[in-house]
Amino acid sequence: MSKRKASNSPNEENGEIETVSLLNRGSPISKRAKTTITPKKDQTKKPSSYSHIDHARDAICSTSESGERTYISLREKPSVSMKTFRKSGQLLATPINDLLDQMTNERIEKAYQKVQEAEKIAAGKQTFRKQKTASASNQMWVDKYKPTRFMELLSSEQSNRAVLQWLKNWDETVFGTQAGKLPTPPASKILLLSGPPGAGKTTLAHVVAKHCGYKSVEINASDDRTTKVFEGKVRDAVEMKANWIGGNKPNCLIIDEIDGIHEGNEGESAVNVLLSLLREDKEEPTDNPDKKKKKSRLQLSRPIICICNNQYAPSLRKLRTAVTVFDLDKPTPTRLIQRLKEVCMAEGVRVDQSTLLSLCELNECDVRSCLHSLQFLAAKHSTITSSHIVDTSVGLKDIPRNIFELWQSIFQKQSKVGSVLGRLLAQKRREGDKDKENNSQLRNLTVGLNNSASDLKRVMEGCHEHFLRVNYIDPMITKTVETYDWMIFFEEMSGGAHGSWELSKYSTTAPLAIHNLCSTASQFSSKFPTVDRNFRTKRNENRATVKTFLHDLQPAIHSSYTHDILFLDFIEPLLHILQPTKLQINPSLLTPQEREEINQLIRFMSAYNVRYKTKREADKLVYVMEPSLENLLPWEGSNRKSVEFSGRDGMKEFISSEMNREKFKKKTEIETPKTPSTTNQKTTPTKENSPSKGRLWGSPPEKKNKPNPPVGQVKDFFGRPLQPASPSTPKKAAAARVVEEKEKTSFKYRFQEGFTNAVRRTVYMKDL
Amino acid sequence: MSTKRPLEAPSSKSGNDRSDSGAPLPWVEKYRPKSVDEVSYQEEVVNTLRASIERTGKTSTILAIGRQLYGDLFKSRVKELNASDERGINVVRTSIKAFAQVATSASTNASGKTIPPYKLIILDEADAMTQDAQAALRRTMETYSKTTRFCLICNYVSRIIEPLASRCAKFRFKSLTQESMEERIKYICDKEGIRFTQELGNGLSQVSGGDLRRAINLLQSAHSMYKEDTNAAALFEVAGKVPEQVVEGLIEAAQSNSFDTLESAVTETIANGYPASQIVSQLFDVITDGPLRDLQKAKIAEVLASSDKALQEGADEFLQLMNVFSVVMQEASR
Amino acid sequence: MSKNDGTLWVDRYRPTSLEKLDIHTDLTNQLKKMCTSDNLPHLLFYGPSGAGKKTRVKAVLRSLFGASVEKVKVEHKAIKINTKTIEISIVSSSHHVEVNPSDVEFQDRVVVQEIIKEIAQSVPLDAGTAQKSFKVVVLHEVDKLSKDAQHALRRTMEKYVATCRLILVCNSTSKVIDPLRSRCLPVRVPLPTIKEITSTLQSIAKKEGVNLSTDLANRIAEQSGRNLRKAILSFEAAKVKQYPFAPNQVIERADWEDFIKQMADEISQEQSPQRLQLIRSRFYELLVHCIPPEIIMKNLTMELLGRVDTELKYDVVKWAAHYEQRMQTGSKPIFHLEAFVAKFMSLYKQFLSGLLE
Repeated sequence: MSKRKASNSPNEENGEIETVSLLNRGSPISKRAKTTITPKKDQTKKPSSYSHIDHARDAICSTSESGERTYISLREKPSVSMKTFRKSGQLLATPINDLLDQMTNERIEKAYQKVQEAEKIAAGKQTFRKQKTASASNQMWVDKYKPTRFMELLSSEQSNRAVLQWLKNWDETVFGTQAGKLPTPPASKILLLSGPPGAGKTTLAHVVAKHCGYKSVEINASDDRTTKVFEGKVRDAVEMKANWIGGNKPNCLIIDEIDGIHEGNEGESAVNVLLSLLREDKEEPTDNPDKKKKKSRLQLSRPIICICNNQYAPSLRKLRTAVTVFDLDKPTPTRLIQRLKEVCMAEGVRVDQSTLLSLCELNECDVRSCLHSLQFLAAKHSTITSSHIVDTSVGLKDIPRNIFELWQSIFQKQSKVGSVLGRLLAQKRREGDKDKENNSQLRNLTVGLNNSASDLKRVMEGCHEHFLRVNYIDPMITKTVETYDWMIFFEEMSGGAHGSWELSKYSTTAPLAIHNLCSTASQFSSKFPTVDRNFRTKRNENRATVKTFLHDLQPAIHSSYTHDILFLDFIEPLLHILQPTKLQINPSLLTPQEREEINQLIRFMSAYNVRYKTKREADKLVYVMEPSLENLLPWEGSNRKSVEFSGRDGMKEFISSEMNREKFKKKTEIETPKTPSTTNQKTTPTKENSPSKGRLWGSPPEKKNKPNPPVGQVKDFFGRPLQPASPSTPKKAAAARVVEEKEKTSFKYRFQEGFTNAVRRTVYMKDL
Repeated sequence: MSTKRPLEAPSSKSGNDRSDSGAPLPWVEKYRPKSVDEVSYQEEVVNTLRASIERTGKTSTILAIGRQLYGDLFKSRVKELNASDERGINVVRTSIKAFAQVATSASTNASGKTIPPYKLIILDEADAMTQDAQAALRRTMETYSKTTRFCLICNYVSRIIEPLASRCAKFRFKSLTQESMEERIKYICDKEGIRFTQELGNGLSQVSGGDLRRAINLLQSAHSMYKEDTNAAALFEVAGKVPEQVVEGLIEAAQSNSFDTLESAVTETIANGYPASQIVSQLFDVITDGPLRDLQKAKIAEVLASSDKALQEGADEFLQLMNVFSVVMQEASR
Repeated sequence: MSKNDGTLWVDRYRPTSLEKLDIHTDLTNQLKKMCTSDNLPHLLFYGPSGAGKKTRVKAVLRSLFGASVEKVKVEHKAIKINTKTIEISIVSSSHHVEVNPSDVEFQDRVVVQEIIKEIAQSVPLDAGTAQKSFKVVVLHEVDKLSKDAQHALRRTMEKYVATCRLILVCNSTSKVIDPLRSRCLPVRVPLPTIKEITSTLQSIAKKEGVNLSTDLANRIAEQSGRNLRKAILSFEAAKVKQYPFAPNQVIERADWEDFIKQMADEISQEQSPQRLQLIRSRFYELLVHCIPPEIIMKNLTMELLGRVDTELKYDVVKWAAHYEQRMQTGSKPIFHLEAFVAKFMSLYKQFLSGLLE
């Protein structure tokens, strides 16, 4: 038996005789066998009628003259159905009662359908598209019963109309009656539709576009949405202006899921493209001085509809302000149930009102998920009852899905009354005691927590931040202590500081325990936890500040300090020593003693590399400490008043310029060979008197072009309170100062000090 | 635990070098026995597994053996690997194998001594090797037993996998007795010019707990700081022990039954820089020998244990000491 | 160094050599002896903050290598680990290197290995003229190193014993692993006594020509908690604030110390979740200012201890120790700090209601 060439016959059970040709293919088989024998040749044609030898059954083997052996299996005598029928002692395969029932059912069904149809017609409603054909049965109901006409839309009439209205505004622009004349497009060019998933946003957009005679062009998350591609697509869709006459409809661009990828670059880039489109559009009418009209400059003359779930998504922030926003709510249960009924009827599924109601509740009126659950159930049962819905876990929206719902469900006990679903659940668990019901919430919570296991740290962060706000009853603070112990437990399980993950599967217990301890029946609104995050950013800022400070310490001192020492012992006294009180003094009114103190202060500051630096803050130049140690001082909520550094800018400025001079002095001492040469060069153009002042003008040419007259004057007043010679001078000097600020090299700046300091001060007073 | 020593350094030095105190070499290395005569055990080197309590001369013994066996050829014939070297499974598979594979012949060296025709691989701290590495080693050991002998040194035989242990002859090293330690210390003191007193000897054995290396290290440290005044008190300071008065003072404060007294005593102790972990372990000795009832002792011992662990994990010393002594106070007041 | 180079007194009057050290003369003498011998063991300086460990280390270095050790430069070295680069500041002279490896937190092990390897492998340039044939590596805050890094250190230490010596500096040896401790010569540096601080303050005052009464000096010393650095700094701050000193001049405690005291008041006034929420914001404030959580816990415990009955003190201490220890193994100090306060509130309330019955 070298080869077995046979295939299983599907008819085997019928007891047909099968031949198995085993050896030489195609050789004739002895006619002596009283069976139908098909030679091998035919086997290829009708392979279904052959079978390999089945030892389990009786077979006759026959050998032909050529020595070929054929097995012929015997026909089984009694048929299967006969057997069963005999055994059950009945004549029919199905009991007559059942058959009768079936018939009645069918009759009722038919009658019911007729009545329903009649009802519908009577109501004058357009019959909903029916495609109860076999081929369509593998279509998703969601697609199958998608509204195609405006009137079929499920979303609230009001918003539908609003969107329609918006789109109609374009009519004049797009289908403008007078050709050749550019009509003004409507003010709002982009529509942002936002709403929860399953509200019917996409459908609405498409239907409305079709209704108004547009061809809808959709870009969604499945498309490549890098800036370049996206921009190209948008332009393609929007720019094709002239071509529509040839039977083509104008485009209406629908950008679906614009917030799709959370905070990723994609959403952002899409938004940026749109914004730039808007901007270009706005710019166009005003002016166009440069001749090269860029190709990309276009008039936004086609409507764009953007669709998103959360209009407050960070990536949409900019867009939101620039466009018209429509908030689309979920369809009302009544409308939804009506539609579901129609669908069920069309599919021949029997469902009663209350079942549908609970389905809607379960799925939170999400059209899509309702239909999905329904289709799923219909595949199994022809009649769907509420118990099916309660049992099935399909489409259960009860499980907290996002982090906010998790917090809510941790801190808020589920209310048991008021919803059909709740009643159903209560009914379902006939034992009905409270524990059971709590269990269901716990169970849902557990599932929810497991689903977001990767986010558990954040969940706990939220728990930590929120739980004190929940008004649980805790006279002896014992619950609070326990809650903290659970938090610590969580921390331990999730690996603590060193991140070992072996035990992390146990960490979901902690939120559940907190739920048990702290949840109340009162409303809890969860917010995103920000305190801890804020704290971390602030702390890191402070750390960075001190790090820079430490970084810049002179080598001899550097190794004497560490971060902790600086924070604990050093910075506060240092700031005291930097005598903020002296900052209140007007630098021009210093007594010699104060002057000496200021000098000491300056020495301190340069020894520890602390400076005052200018910073632009709301149109004003202010002096801040650098590194910003002063930020470390205020203690929020402290009873003690901390040191204030809100001294006069004038004084800070004075100190800063003095410091620069000191620094320069030191530098020149070191680099003596270099300095004179530069000085000479710079001095030559300025004819003026003393060389030291001449150096003042070692600044870029544009500075030299400035009116010189004040120089002499300023020099005379140098170092003393000065009355400005002419009102115009300080302004210009101020302007010059700004220039310097911008391209400040220490060199230039230093040179200005004696001179500009005086002028600057007056400018300040004038400006103030 | 082990000292990775530059192998060539000690071998190039003859015994005379020892008196040369100018060499900045730790005494442990300086006075490591150079021949088997200097250690108390002398065995033929076969596949040897040695186990004993820490620091009793295992490494010294085998190195001395090696030196005696090979003399000048020590460097080429002996490979020593300790915990500081990479000893994962890869090393076992590559470098150990490579070293073991090359056969050597018996030869005589310049001094006419016969050198055995095998090489020696010393795996110090073998119990720190991974299971995988040990498993990989067993085949290598058998295959190359003709050319190479292995010597495994460990603190705990139980941590050597069974198949490997069964391939070795085992030698157990006992803790050094106080006499033999004292002898060695005396020898070193002699060489280094320290006046040896019985008090010093006792102190040494107390702070080192039979660990010769620690004893020598302590002696050297004390000597470098105190020079000729090296005495038991200096040893205590160098060993980081807390003076007994300090611990007693704390206990006294606890017995005063005033929290303020205790607080200031603890603050004082911390301010003086005494390490809390040391106080905790010394307190244990004091308490167990003390007059309290067993149940009270047990309670204190419990808090001592948990504190010790906490301190290891980096807990704050002040709080832990306060905790310990508040329990002592509670118990003492009963 | 007494010339006015603009640095604060605390830096200006820092003794630079063993001869100038006037606190803990015994210790100084021992160090002197050690420096004269040719063989320097690895050293482990330990003692509370402000005791003068670093100053002593510097003095030791100076007496080992002479004045050239004072010519230091700061390098900011980037070390690449996998894909990340971390920057670490290294202070170095031709004879020694100082690093604070705990700055880099998680990757300290690599840093320790890299740096020591690099130093140990490079022989001092002027090997011929220097009297010592080794370099010194000073590692600060060793107790903050991870266990991993400490183990790595121990191996590295042995490997390069011929070319380099280590000086480890830490606050407490409790957190230093035993093998490392046993390889070093421990040098305990206690905090100076009040008297020593007072006399130091007065000698500074003399040099600066400031009139400092013994009483005020004493008060500054007391306030500083025997921390010399703090004492000198607050002395200078006080001088800047008001000079000549008033006889009853107030020496203020540090902001954070006051803040914790205020918290203790708030806690003992009211015990409720709402109050706890307030305390939470206080804790955050402290942490924002980078006050180490264990110090917060310790100071808060001390403050609270002063506000409760003896009976309760045992429990307070017990739970403080408990939560503080957990905090060390955890990653979120705020949990543990609050947990302790909650526990305290609970204990306190129970105690009070027990009194009423």
